[in-house]
Parts: sequence; C-alpha cells; structure tokens
Amino acid sequence: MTLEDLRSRLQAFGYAVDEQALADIHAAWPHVEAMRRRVRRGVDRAVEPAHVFGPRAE
Amino acid sequence: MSDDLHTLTIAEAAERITARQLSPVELTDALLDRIARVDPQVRAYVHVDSEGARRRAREAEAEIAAGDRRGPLHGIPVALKDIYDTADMPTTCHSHVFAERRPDVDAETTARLRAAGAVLLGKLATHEFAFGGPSWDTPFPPARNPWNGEHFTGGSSSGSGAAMAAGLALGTLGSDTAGSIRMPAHFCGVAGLKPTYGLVSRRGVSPLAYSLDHCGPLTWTTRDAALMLDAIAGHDPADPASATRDPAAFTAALDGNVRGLRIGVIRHFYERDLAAGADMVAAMEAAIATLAELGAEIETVELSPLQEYHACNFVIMLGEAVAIHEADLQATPERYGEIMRDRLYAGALFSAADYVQATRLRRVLVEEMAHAFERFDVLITAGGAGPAPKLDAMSKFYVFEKPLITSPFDVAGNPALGVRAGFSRDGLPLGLQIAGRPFEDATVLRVGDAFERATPWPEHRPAL
Repeated sequence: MTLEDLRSRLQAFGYAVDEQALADIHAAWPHVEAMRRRVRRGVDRAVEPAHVFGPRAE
Repeated sequence: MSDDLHTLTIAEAAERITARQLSPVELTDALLDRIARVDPQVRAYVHVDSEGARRRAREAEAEIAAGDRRGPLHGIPVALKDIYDTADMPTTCHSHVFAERRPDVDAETTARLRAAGAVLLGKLATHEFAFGGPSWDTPFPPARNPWNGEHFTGGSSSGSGAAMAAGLALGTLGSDTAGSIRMPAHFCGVAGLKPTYGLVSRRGVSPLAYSLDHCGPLTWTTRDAALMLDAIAGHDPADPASATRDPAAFTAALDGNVRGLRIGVIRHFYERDLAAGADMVAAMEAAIATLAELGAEIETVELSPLQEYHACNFVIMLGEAVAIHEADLQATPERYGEIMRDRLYAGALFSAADYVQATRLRRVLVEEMAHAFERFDVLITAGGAGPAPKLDAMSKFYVFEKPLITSPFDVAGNPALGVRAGFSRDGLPLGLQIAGRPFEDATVLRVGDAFERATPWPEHRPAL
C-alpha cells in the first residue's frame, strides 16, 4: 500500500485526512496487514460467522 | 476515623451501615472531600455531582433509619465511566463530539445501581468513546496512575481504575471490548470483572463494538465486584444481546474454597506470544503456587496464538466502531481527538470480507475455548506484559502493535476477572486474569476471592 493508495482509499470513503495522519497510518499499515492475514488462517469454507441471523418468526 | 473511610471496601462499609456505625452521609462526605483533595493529581473524574450525591446519601440514610434497607449497596458511593448514560449528569464519552450531551434517561445499569440505593458521585475519565487514548486533545486530560502519576492507567476504563486505586469511590463501572476493564485493573492494582457477554445490560452505554462490548465493575476487592454484579446482572429486554437466564447469586458463591478445582494455565500467552517481563512471569509463578497451595489442580493448556485472538478481536471491533462513527467522522472529524480519529481511519481500511473472515475465525476460537473448558473449571493467564508504561511512551497505534492478552475472553465472551498478583521492582501493580465458562461468573469470582484472601496485595495502597 503506497501513501497515495492510502490517500485515495480514505478519500473514497469520504474522509479528509491530513498529511501527518496519512503518514502515521501508513507507518501502522503493516500491523493492519498482519491482522488481515491472521483472520484468514485457512478456516474451512463451511465454517459460518459467529454472528447468526435469527428471523424472529414467532 | 473519617480520614480512612475511603479505604473501606463496599462489604466493610455495608456492614458498618447495617450496624448503624456509619452513616451514608458521613461516608459520602468523606469521599467527596477526598476527591476534592486528591483528584486534581489523579484526574479520575470528569464530572462530580456533589449536590446530588449528598442529597441521595441523605435519602439513603433516612430510608435505612426507617428500616427500609435495600441491600448492601444502599448508601454506598460509586462512580461511572463517562459512557454510561445518566439522566442527571452529562455523558460526554470524553469527546468534543458529545461535549454538550445530557441524556434523558439512565442506562439500565445506572438505573439498577440507583434502585439498589447506591450514591452516584460522578462520571469518570475514559479513553474517547472507550477507544481513543490516552489523549490530550479531548475535553479532559487522561487519568493518571495513582501508584505513579507519570504512568499509564491502562484503558479505556482509565478513570474507573484510577478512582479505585486512589480511594475516590467504593465501586465503579467500566466497559470491556478488548480488555478495557482488565487492563486498568492490571495497571492500577484493583479488581475488574468482565462478565459473560449478555449477563449485564449494555442499553444506554455508548457502544464501541456491538458484538464485543461488556459492562462490568472495577472495585478494590473481588467480593465488591460480586456485590456490584449482584445488583446489575440480569435480563434487559431492551438490550438485544441480553441473556434471558436468571443470574446466579454471585456474592453467595464466595466460600473461599478452590480445593479440587481444575485450573489451566495459558503460559504461552505471556511467556511466548507476548514475551512478558521477568517481574510479570515471577508474579505468575507465585500466583500459580498460591492456587496450588489452596488445593487447586494446576496444568498447562495450549490455545491458538494470542495474535490470532487479537486480530479477530480487532478486525471485528474496528469494523463495528467505524460503522458507529462513520457519519460523524466524515462530517466533523475535527471534533474527535487525534488518536481516536486516526485509529478509526485505519479501521476503515478493513474490508467487508475482512470482517466476515474475522467472525468466521471467531466461531473457531469460541469452539477452541469451549473445548479447553471441558478439561478445566477456570483458565488463568497474566494480566499484561508487565507494569504500567509511562504515559508519554504511549504511541498512537500501540494497540495495533502488540496483542492484548485480555482480548481472547472478549472474542469468546467468557467471564474474566483481573486481580492484583504482586508488584514490579518499581512498585507498580501486576495482575492475574481468571476466566471461566460462559455464565459461570460465580466460579471466576470464587477463585479470585480465594486468591485475594491468600495474598497480602489488597493491603497495599498507593501513597497519595
């Protein structure tokens, strides 16, 4: 993720981020990436999310 | 004698009030005097309601004198993290976003404490919206660690931990999404219980992450946490996650007996995954020895790496937090403190797929935890990596950099208690975590209470 990619993505989400904040978030990006990798540790595709929808039919 | 009233536990004060040896007015006055003298250096409070507290103390005194005693919290001065709605006080969430906010109604927990006769002293410092801190650009400064004012209290229930350690309330409520009750308990040397998810209502408490938020007490002793839990636990139809089962009698479970209890020690969380300091490891060894001497059966247990629990916790927490703050963050970003704002920006970079992957991993981790509890009655691990760091050493993204040893029990929703387990060479507190099966909060409290009775740590108070 380049600094410019980061700026573009946050702008697309509607956030006006100053340069210092962008630099700080960019520096923290490896930690974000590490978390993204860890939540994909090869869980079987049949495993459903922990949050289960309840239709409340009654 | 009034100089020492702030050191009373809830249980001790309740006993004296029952015996008519102590009046709620005298107790409340003593706490308000101490807040006036000590809080300017601790900064635990963001709002003190002296007039309201004295009025409620007088009412409690009259009710008790008339024979209408509601229970052990009647006439007891307590305080709330400033994310709990209070109809008669501001609820700012420590943020300029809510600087003028005065809720119309109490949070369910606030109302239950009032119904139990507790005297609300005021509102306590928090990290902004229970996440952004320690910050200096929010409406109030961060709370200071009463053991050493240059050090961090832990967060986000920073004022709750500081108030208890400094003797500025007899009980407090905090909230815990990734460890925000147990981290201040660890760093400030007090007891802090994250109850089972759904046991205590979250209605009227500012959300950080809906599927992870827990409300619970920070107190001086585990017994006091049980007394507060007795008052606030139970079904609330207005909270969609509220459990429908009847809560246990928590204080009644504190018999001091842990003989034969099977305790699993999650050593790798603090020895390998977090690489805790020598003082913390030594405190854990001493705690394990104490529990063994009390008759518990101790074994080591292995779970997934702490980093996996932390990632699962953070991806879900940030996804839900960004959803809550998205509109305000787009419209008025300048009203947020820098730390909260920039952490939310970083959280916005997680995708919908990241969130779903984290919730799928959560199911796997919940199953893993449940499997471990087939062999053990409780699991224990360290309360942190070491003692409280200095406030000026806290980086904006510290919570992204190292895994939080408290996060696994938020992911799994199990009850988890932080209790003091000793002190570092620098005289700062160190904590132990005790976790139990869902809705077996009473077992967790029983172990914590027995441990406290067997150790000298509750006698140690910071010099203020």
